[in-house]
Amino acid sequence: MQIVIPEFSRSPYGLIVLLSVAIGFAVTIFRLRKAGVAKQTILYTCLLTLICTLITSLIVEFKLTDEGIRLGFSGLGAVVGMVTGVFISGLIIRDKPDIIMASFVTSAPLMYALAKTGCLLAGCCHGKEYHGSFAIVYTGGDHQGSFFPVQFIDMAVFLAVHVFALILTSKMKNKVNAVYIIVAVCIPVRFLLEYLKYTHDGSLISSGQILVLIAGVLAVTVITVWKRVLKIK
Amino acid sequence: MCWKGFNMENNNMNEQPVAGAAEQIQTQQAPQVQPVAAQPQPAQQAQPVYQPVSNPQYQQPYAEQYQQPNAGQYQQLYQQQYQQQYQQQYQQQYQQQMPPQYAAQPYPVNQKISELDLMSPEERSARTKKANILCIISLALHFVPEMISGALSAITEQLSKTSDMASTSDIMAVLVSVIFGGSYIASWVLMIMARVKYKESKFAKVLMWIYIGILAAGIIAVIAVVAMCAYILKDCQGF
Repeated sequence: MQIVIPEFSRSPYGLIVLLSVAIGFAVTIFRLRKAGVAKQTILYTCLLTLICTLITSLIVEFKLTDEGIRLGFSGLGAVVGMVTGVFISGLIIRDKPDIIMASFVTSAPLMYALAKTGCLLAGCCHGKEYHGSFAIVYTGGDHQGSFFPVQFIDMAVFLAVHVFALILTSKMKNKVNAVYIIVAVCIPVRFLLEYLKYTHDGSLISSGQILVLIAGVLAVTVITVWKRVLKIK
Repeated sequence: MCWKGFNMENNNMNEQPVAGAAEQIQTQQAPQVQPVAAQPQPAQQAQPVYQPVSNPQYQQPYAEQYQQPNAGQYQQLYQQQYQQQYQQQYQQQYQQQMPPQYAAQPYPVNQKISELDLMSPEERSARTKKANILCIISLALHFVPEMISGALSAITEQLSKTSDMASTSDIMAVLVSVIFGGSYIASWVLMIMARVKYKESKFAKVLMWIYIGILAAGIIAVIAVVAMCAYILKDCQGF
């Protein structure tokens, strides 16, 4: 059994990414309201985090080509931007920053998993060549061929991480520790899934995996600085 | 006999005001009876002492007519006629005495006194100035990079043409993107700082809604362009 993806005249990738970001923010807002965070705090934090997420992900994927400027979304850039946005808004507002950070970090795997639908339809981030069952076949465009369904695996794994993060943040009283655990789970998972992608050249650590490690270290650094500056225990 | 006579005299003395009151009650109008309605106590207290009721014709109608069935009705009438009248008179007097800006709400019990109300006009104007400075810097960071984007892109293009090294144009492109993105984020940060620290600032509030409007319009424009391109390309496939 093979899954055939037809060629789109215009890729719905951007729209799906925007939708996944919107759903992720909606889940975060719902959880923050449930936790009793003030409406004004939620509004300003969400605005700042949304801007930081979009701009940082665009900056990371900013490319100047012969055809002009090309923009794309980067999941890793978005994660760093999101954590930075929550950090800056925490410095300004200082209202339940640990709950806010935990809610956003919990929603990050959900956003990533949903955004993978865009990758699946657009053909980017596909797996290595594969002709077995459940292979994804692209009939046209730049990515013609039959590939390993790594996007499905990405979606399933990150949805599971999201559910795990939801349980963890609701059970644990110390939200900062929960945030560290979620990030500590996300980085190795993303690192390991890189082995299945076509961009991996077969070496021990590819350039994509180095980027994952850099983004992970950046995120952990920002969270640690945020914790120290706001004096959260 | 002596005790009896004494008692009889006392009885008569006690009875007289009750009987007189009953006569008054019968002749008066209903709302005016209310002050008298509190007086049946002596008659009721006198009953166990004197078994033969001296004037049952007064006590019976009094008890039936004024005590039991109509007490609530008289209270309502009293409230309607007297209490409301006094309240209206009091409010009119109060409004005449007080300046008009306070006359609307004589008792602001639930109104919270904010820190802003306690500030002097100088402090308020200083706060407004600080908020305006933040907002103006934010506005500049939001729109100036967009204004000079044409010049920056021209420089980048020129560099990519003249320079043999591709890395020069790449570095310029990264720099431009970082400057643009950084200033855009900084403009939002300053606006939110103004909103959080100076809540009373209308400039900051207007700025926030302008930014949100531009962001929403941008996202809608991107979606519309994508949809339009898809529609046009679909139509052009036959040619």
